[in-house]
Amino acid sequence: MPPKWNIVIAGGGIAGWLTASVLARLADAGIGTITVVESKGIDDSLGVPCTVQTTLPSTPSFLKRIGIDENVALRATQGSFTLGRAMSNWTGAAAPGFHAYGEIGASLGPVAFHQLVAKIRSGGEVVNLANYSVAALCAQSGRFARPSEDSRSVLSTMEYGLHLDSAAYTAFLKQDALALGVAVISGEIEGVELDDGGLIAALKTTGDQSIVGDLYIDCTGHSAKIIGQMPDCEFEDWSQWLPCNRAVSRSYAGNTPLPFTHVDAHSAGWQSFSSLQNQQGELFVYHGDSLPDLQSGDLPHMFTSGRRAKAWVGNCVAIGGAAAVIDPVASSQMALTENAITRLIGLLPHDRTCRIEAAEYNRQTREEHDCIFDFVALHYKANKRVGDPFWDACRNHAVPDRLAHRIAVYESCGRIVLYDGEIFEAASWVALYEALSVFPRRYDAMANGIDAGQMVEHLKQIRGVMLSAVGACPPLRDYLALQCAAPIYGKIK
Amino acid sequence: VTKAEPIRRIVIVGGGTAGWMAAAALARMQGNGATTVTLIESDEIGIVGVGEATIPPIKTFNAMLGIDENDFVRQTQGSFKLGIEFVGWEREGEKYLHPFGAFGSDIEGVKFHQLWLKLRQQGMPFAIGDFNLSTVAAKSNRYTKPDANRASVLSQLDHAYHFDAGLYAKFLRGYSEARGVVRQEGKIVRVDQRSSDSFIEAVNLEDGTRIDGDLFIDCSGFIGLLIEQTLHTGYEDWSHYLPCNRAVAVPSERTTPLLPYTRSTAQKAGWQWRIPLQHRTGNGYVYCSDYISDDEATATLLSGLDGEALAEPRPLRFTTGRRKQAWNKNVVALGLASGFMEPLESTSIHLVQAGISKLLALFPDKNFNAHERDEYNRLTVIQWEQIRDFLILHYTLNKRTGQPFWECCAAMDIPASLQRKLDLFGGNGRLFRYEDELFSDASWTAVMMGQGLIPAAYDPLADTLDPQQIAHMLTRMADIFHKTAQQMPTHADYIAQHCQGNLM
Repeated sequence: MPPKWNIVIAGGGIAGWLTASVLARLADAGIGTITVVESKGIDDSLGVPCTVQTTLPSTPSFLKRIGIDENVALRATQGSFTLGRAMSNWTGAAAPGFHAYGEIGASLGPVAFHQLVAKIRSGGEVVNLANYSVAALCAQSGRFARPSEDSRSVLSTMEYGLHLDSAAYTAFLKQDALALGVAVISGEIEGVELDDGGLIAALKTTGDQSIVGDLYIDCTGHSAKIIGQMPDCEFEDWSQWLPCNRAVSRSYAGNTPLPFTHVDAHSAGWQSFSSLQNQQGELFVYHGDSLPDLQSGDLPHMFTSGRRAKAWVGNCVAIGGAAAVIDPVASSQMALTENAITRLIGLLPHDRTCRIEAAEYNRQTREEHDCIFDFVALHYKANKRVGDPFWDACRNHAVPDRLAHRIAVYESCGRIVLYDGEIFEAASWVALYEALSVFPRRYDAMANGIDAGQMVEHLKQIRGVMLSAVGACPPLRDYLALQCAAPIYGKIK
Repeated sequence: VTKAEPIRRIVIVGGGTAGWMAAAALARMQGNGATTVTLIESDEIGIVGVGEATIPPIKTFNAMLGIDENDFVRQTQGSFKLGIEFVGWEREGEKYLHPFGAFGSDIEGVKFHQLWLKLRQQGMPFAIGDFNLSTVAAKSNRYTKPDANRASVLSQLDHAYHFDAGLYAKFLRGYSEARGVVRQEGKIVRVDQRSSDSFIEAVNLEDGTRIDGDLFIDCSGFIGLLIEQTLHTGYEDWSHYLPCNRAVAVPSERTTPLLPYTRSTAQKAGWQWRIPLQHRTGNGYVYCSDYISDDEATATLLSGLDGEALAEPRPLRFTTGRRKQAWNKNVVALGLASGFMEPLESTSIHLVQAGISKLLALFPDKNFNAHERDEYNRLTVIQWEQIRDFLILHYTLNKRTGQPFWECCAAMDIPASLQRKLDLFGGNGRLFRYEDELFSDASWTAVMMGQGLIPAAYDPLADTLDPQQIAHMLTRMADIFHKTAQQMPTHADYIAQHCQGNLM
């Protein structure tokens, strides 16, 4: 039997309790005691605090993998579903773009769907890609049903993320972790005590408490109270490309819930709207002091996008905002945290120096951060809000070579450049380029071998099948009532 | 904004396997009625057919072309390949099989080999190969067509082919010419470059014919007529990682039974391949000239044949490495013109195929956008380096003693990317497959454990599953695989029934 690892998690919050709850399930796999040091204050453990978390489709599969019933979690958190991001005012276009989750259309032979569309458009036709996505069509019509598991059904091509009430989700995860035997200590982190080898020997908290473990997980968010004190972990500042640095978040009683996230660009940033079952979450993210309509009581949270050079040093692993704070425009912060936990479990160290595991963990983490950086930075670089000084500056500012390369290849021939650490697959990249009105100059030469009539017929057929399938899905409200209605609708915040 | 200008004239320089594979795949570009594909080859120039064994992705290539398997095997004197047997690679007298397909299946996110490691520690009798259907079938020289239905046990069988590369080229020539590709006989004597940017404009043949092109595919072999002799692209030498630099090849008489796998036997200064075809057996000795003379290598090869030699041994020289840019200006190099890696894992034809699919995916227009070229080259380098690492793995893990070549290989520096894989596997049996990596976790597991790198401990996650239940499942799986294999026809019978060639 391998030795048992005693874990100390600093910070609580969503990241801390999610980590605790997952690790607590691994008592047979070498995890010994788990202690969460819970601190007070706003929960920025994922990076940027918000009253409603909007997640990507990775969250439902993550919950399934760790054995948490999604309906139970939704009931406990006023949770609802999101089929994608409606993106308004990012370009001069009147109609919003839609970043749908799941597949868009279907390829014809060797030719990708968006390449077929590019060819059809080259003949002057107007085609909206989102009209060929089940998720987008459901979102448009306010309907929802979980995807079919039968791969022959067109309903299997959609994916969905979740909207969760942050405080309720934290409480839910905490309750779950405590039931699994996790211990909790209230206190503020004051510092760490290192041993001769540079490893953490104990965590110091208020009241001169000393908390001892084998592996220390930093879930203290932006302040990175532990990893920030370790060597080689300097913060890499990304604010020149991801310039937003203030966030204001609030919830209020909502009307009919919508099955998508709405992301609206404004003069110096963006705001998003995410429906819970009976509430609406609003998040304003912007640069500097330029938000015009702050309400009394709104306290802007300050942040800087960037990451720690290393997320794992010695026996300290940073998870969530302590590892990276990334502008949450693409709803990625929950996925990054979940992936970090998955990565840690796949690399539970076999000795205290953690040398081999940490090196691999850091390599994978950096790749993933590089990829999410590109996806998020594309929102700013490729905006079309001409005349807004903030956006003009974003558009005119040079981006790192890798992102420039991605954009150049797409603009030239519509090919999606992908790297190892992608969180978003090709379909999402296509959807984002579309939503930002970035179009390839030419289409895939292989589309020339396909008869134009056959292509038009192909599109017609896809849309017909999709529309009838979507028509059979219930309105979101009915689906929620049937599957996961919260027992008492939440109080207005 | 530059206007899109489609490529009209595609010129393939050189026939052989690479050239005709490219021609067959690019034939579809003529679908617009305006693009032409011309392949220039000379009957005078010999073809280097090193790769006669393949790996499973070739099925995708053939399927893309719409080729019927039986017809293809018949016309190329082909046979079926379930893996490679490595003899003497860890040390003299030891052997292992690197099979196609997976070992067992992962359970609740725990990798199968981790479960196997755990149960093995507790005394379970089965070898890991007992959980790979290709291994079980190969051991009794059996083969049958895999079942596409994933519910069937036979869907677990994975295979590739052995074939006569010369006949494969001929087969693809017929395919390409039937689809409008023009074959131009002749030797290229001069290449014309555009003065403004040195792009290739045309090639001129001995008889004065001038062939203009927009896009040139260089399949001219080691010399790299366009990519190197004309464009001076440069070569990255990998001899310090893979020191073999010569080979000698000879066909021999077919022997019985017909094995459904390739064999690679370690020799004093390299290794010897054995590839069973329907009408003969292909053999060759890949070696490093610093450690053995050509004569001795040839003598070793000839004395190690298991049937009569059918021709004079043919020598071959090479430098392992890759062309610095597989795509330079308007030239894309495929096959030996793009670089060379020894056929230890039968990757030569695959690299051609992968080059073609990347070219189709990033097919240029006359503007030749530099970012598209860079993307092609980026993906190419990743793929070449991943295969390189996998080949080095075989050498670095050897424990052969008393032979300077092997002792040198065991001691040499290896790339950091490979060292990381060895460290992770050696610790807790962990494997991380990079996206698009050709060789799967199963392949790495097979070779690492086959050559004696057994993890110090299994992944603690394996402890989250009920050991008795797992032991029961594994016993059942081994039993099913064994029974399924025994019901398959022998490899020779399967061929006789479905795809017997006509040269026998």
